[in-house]
Formats: sequence, structure tokens, C-alpha cells
Amino acid sequence: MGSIRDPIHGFVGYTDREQAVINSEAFQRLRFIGQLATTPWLYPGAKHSRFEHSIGVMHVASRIFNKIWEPLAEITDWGGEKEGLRTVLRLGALLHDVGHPAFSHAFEEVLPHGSHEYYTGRYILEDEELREVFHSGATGVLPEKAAAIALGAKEKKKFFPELLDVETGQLQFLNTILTSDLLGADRMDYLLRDSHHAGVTYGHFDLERVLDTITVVIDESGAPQLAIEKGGLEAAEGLILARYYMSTQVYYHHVRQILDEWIRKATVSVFENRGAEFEEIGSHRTLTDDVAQVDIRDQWLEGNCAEGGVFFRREHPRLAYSVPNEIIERFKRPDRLKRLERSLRRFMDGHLDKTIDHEVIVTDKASVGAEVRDVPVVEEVAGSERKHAFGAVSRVLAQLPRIQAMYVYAVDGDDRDSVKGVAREWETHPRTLP
Amino acid sequence: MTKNQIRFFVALMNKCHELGVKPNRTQLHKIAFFAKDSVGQVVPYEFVLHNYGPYSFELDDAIQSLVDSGDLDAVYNPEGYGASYSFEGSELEGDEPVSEDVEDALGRWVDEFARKGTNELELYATALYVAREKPDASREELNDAVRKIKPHFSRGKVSEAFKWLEKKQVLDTAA
Repeated sequence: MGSIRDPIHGFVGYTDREQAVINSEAFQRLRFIGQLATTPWLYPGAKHSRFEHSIGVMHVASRIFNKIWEPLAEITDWGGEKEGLRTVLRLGALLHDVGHPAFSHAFEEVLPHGSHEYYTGRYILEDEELREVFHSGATGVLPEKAAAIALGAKEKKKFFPELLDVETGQLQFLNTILTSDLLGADRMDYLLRDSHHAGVTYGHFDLERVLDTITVVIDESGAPQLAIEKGGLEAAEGLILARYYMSTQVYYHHVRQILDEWIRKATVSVFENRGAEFEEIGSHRTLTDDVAQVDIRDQWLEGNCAEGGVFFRREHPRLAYSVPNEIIERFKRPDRLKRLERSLRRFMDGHLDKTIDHEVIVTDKASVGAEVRDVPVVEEVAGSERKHAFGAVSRVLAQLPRIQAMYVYAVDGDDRDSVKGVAREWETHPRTLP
Repeated sequence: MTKNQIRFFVALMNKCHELGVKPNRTQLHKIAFFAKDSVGQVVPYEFVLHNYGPYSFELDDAIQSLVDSGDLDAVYNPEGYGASYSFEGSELEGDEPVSEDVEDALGRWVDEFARKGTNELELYATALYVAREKPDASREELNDAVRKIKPHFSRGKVSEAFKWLEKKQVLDTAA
């Protein structure tokens, strides 16, 4: 047993088995994978890695489990399995991001199977060092169970259909402790962590109150479901507001958007034909941010990767124009927003001088998913339990806008005025708005 | 979110509206799942096994998109567990209609599931999902597999679910 000092959670304890996972080559690699890819170019302090985030998620998931265990044991027949369930939950949480490639998501386009979760599953199920850890000790842990908790439903079906054979109601419930849209440990950790390191306060919410009021109820079908006590409603609303503001101010900031696009182009340019090199987890393990940057730099210096300049000279397209909110509002539905985007792209291509390069980037995301509306809020009334849907009692949820933006960038900053001029013309040109 | 995903969802909500149904999320997911099982890839959602059985992340996105755009209202039954969805007016505006096959499939399953409880829907859909993932398994093996994922359902209830799927000719009768 030991502990690590974490800037968000204080001292985070770990067992001997967890220490062996943390010390493994596969996990130590996460020290060299930035949590937020290109965000340090916008918020220089945001250099934290997936290493400490993964430990943080294990810690929060475990706190949720400990809090809900008593009611969970009462409403299910899982009472005798506490230690086993907590062990596999913590391991699944610890390893949930182990397969992330360099620059987090930018590399997914060039890797043979795309999704980082494919590699996460491969590491958990096949890495020899990790398998030894899983099977060590008086009671081993099936790596398949940890994988069932760590991986998303889509990726399990696509890449590891054999996991259906180990899937149980218990593992599905434990997965929600990690991934629940409102109350999931993954999001709770990264909001606080990203906010802290970026030096902003948008991601702050009352974690202690959320964890103090999180509970579990039986849903309509008879299965356990995470819920929140009525006393924690405002803290849960604070959590969704934190998510909204971090999204608009950090994750989907217009500079971050173009940095992501330029990193993606740089990655494709340098690694497009090399994806097969990283097919196996042995070679995938070498793919960290610094290794990828060295290769990109070499190509940039030889003139083969102009986009590499984003790393080494902060050379990237600059924002020239942002579609006004009043126009976006009229085209809020995703299919209508796509028509608006097509109209803008056609107009820019048709009216901008052919010597001027530009980029159009569109963001269209829900602030929260539909699932959040249905999370139970529980209160005790005259000795009996009453449940409300979160959407029915939250005055904040209904007001939360969709995160939508449409940006036009000038590839050469000197062309900003020209790009802006044409885009402004699009706004007022008759018959250009669909 | 693709144009087709919105188009299908608009057709689904219009069918519900036409038949006087204000569906909740579980009903929407299961109706769409059975429709896809009936007519195949033309239903533009991928279904995976999630908390309540077969579930589509894209469909949940579509629900939220149309609530965010103001096209759909989320309404709450004080005694109920979650939101139901409806809209004002005669129909939601969409780009193009879906094919007749899809319309028919939607009509069939909206009608079938509109008044079924979440419990039943979850079980029937999970039973069908597992049967499709394990086409060579016996009914006994499928029963075991469903109860591993949904232990709160009894062997008897799961058997009833498979019999129902056979009766509706969604699954062939087991030998």
C-alpha cells in the first residue's frame, strides 16, 4: 500500500496490485501523453498528463463506490462481493485511458484501428506485464472484467465482441460509475484537473457535495442506477455549468480548434503511411507526444510538413470571422446548421481570391446528453422516498444552450481582413443564407 | 450527427405523434432498434449494449439536438421516471421523407411498444440483441446470456421474452 500526492485530490492511496499497474511500462508511458493535446499552446500551464488523470479517475470512482455501497448492497444481492467489485472497478478506472496515442485524439486518424479504446483493450487483455499483475496475489482479477469496465459500449462491440461473454449487470453498473453523463468519475476528474492546470476557474464545482449526495436507486426495470439526493441538486447543476464553461472557454475555444486541426494535418502528413508501424502494442508503446514531435520537427525542418510550424514557431491560421450568434440561433438544428455551413463554404470558395487560403471550422455539441434529464433526484418525504427526474427539477438544465460556433480562419494572418470582408459579405448577400 | 440520422429521428417522432404517443428515451431506443432489425442498415444508428439494453449514442444525440433546437419538448410526469418527448403542430419539418419500408417498420414498432413499460421493452430488446450477437446459441444458452446481463429478470420472464419474439416473427421458433 502507498499513496501519491495529487494536486486535485490530495493523497491518493493505492494497493500493491495498483502500484504494480502504475509502475508498468504501459502505464508509465501515460506520463508522456498530454491530457489536453494542443491546449498548452493556448493555456501554457495545461501540461498535465493522462498519467495523473487516470489515477484521479480511479480515486473518484472509488469514492463514489464507497459512498453508494450500503444502499447498493441493500437493493441488490451483491452484498458479499464488495472487495472484488471495488478492486475491478479501480483497475478498470486506472487503465481506462492506457491506450491513448500521442496528442490524444489527433493520431487516431492514422492508426490502423483509429480509436484509442482499441489499444486500451489490447493493453488490458494482452500486455504481458499487466496480465501478470492481474493474475498475481491470492485472488487474481480477470483482465476481461477490467476491460468491460474501462471500455465504452461502442468500442467493446466493434473491437472486442468476445467481451459480451463476460458482460454482467454488475460490470455494466460499474462502467456507469466511470462514464455516467452527469455523475461519471472520468468527467469529474478532468473538469477539475484541466481547470486547475489551465489556470482558469470555469471547471470548478463542489465535488465534495456531489460525492456526499450521490446515491443509488432501483430503476424502472429493477436494475441499480446512480442518482443524486435532492440536497445535492445545486452541486450537480454546478457540475454541468462547469462542463459548459470549460467547453466554451477551453475545449472548443476557437484557437484550440485550429490548433487541433493543424496538429491533425501535421500528424497525417508525417505518419499517414506509417500507421502499421504502431499496430502492435509493443510498438504502439513508443508513440508518445515527444517522440511524435521529434518526427514532425524533422519533416518540418526539411520543408515536408508546413503544419509542423504550429509546434515550433506558433504558425497556424488566425481567426478572421465568427458567424454571429443571431444567425447560428436560426439554424440550431444540426441538419440546418450543416446547410448554413455549406452555404458559407460555397460562398467563401466562390468569392475569396484563389491565392488566399482559409479554413472553416464548425462546432456543434450538446452541453449535456439526453440521459442527464432522466437521472433520478431522490428526496425523503414523510419517511418515504420520492424520485424526480433531474430535468424536471433543475432550472439550470433547461437553460443550457447548445455549444455551436462557425469560424473562418485565414491561413496567413496577413489575409485576415480579406477573409473577414468576404465572410461579412456572405451574411448580407441576398440568397446566400439557406 | 448526420443528415440521415436527423431525418430518421424526425420520421420516428412524426410517427409517434401520428399515433398519439409521447415516447420516453427507452421507447425511442427500442422502437428504433426493432425498426433497424426489420429493415437493416437504412436505419442510420449503431446499437450497442448499454444500461437499458440496446442503445444508440447517435439517437440520444438526435433527441438532445431537437430539444436544444426547440423542435421537441421534454415533458415530465410527476409520478414517472424521466422525460417524454412531444411537439406542437401536425408534424416536424424534415428534409425528405424516409422510404416506405422504414415508415412501415416505424409504424409497426411504435404501435407495438407505445404502451409497453420500460421493463418489458428492455427485456425484449436485450433478448433480441443477444440472439443476433450469438446466432448459433440455443435458447437455453441465450436465456443464460440475457440473465447474466440483466440478472433482475427471472428465467421464466426471459423465456417469455423469447416466445414473444417468436410470436412476432422477429426470431424463428426454436427447434
